[in-house]
Amino acid sequence: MDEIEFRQRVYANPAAPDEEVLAAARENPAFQKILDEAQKMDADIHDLVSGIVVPEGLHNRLLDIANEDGIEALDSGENDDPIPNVVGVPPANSSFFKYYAMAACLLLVVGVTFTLTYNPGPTAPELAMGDEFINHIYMEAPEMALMNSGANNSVVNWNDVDSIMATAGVQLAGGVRDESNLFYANPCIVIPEYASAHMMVQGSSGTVSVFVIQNSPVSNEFQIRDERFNGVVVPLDQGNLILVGEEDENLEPVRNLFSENLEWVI
Amino acid sequence: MSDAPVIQGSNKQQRYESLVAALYQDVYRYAFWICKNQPLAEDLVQETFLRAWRSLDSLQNDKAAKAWLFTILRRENARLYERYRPELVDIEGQALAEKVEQEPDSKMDRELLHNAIKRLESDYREPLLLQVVGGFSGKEIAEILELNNNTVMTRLFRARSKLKQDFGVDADDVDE
Repeated sequence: MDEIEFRQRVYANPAAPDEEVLAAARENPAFQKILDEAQKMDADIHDLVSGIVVPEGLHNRLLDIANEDGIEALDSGENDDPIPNVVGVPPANSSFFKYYAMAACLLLVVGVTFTLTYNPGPTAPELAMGDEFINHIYMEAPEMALMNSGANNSVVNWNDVDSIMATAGVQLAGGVRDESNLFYANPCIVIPEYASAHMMVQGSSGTVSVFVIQNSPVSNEFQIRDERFNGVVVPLDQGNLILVGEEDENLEPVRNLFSENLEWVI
Repeated sequence: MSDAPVIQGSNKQQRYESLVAALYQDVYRYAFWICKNQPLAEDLVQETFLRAWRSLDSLQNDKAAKAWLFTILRRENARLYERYRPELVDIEGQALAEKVEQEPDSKMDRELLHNAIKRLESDYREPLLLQVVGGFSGKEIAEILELNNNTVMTRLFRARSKLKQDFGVDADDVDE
């Protein structure tokens, strides 16, 4: 082993050199010096990066995530275990807890009412994203024309569809196979840095394009349209579902089918 | 191979709590070094664990929990960066654990090394942090970063070579 290779192997993982590296170091004092210095520097690096002080209270804030969601799960019957009685939190049957729960419900009602009444609508970046998907469809217009004409009647290979969905970080449940008229699927890049999948299904007025992309979910569902197409952008947990059809297409059935049968995979 | 955390508990909440207890500190430290911004790192960690909580049922192999969590964090970082591009705040001096007994020279060395790590390009800094903070093997780092193993090894080598070079240069400047 020459010095270059020795350095490469040591520097890749000084904390756990393999037996071959250790043997080379035993036989060559210069190599041993390189190993010792690398391990010393690595210990300093470890000491430094691991010495960052974790903010006080972060642990509890992270646990609160589950507690807040856990309360909703309790109501739905998903979680039959009692909420742990943390010190300082009164028992569930106390008057305090009842008033606290009432106040929380009131706040929820006020918040929902406010949101429904004063929905600010999509932001400019969100609208721009919607436009990009409509533009993408124009780029694929020749393919869509072929589909609409019925000239291409090839049967979709679901194994290929699953692979394409995986590139966009999703998997489709069986409902889509059983109930959709999906005849096209292709990976595509509409928003840079985010892989997305473009599917086409047969709608009542023509082809409906269905996109899934694992980028930031939009704040609220909103409509997109131009002189030919109408569409909708739907936030779905870890990304967005975008549907675009002809101007007079009713997208609701396709929207419901995909949003209910789509799972993000990490 | 990284130490597999012990996720204990028979229900989702217990599993989540054990996941948090085992990993939140490492996750925060990694977030801190890639964000270079303490408040942003906290936001990132909270978003990460929120997504982890909601997807916990999809984690089928508890031994992969750490890699799974760090993968979520990296994706959340990309999303946060898309929404908010902070000015790079100098993290020097923020949240460094001070050792009371440190000699002035070793404190200076620590700051020099801190600067050298901060200056590393993210392509080199991230695999280094995954190895040192996360304790991941080369193979695990390759999976998290979606690179091949050889590329990971090369980047780790280059990261440490650059640190050695920069740290050595900074130390020489101080000595002059």
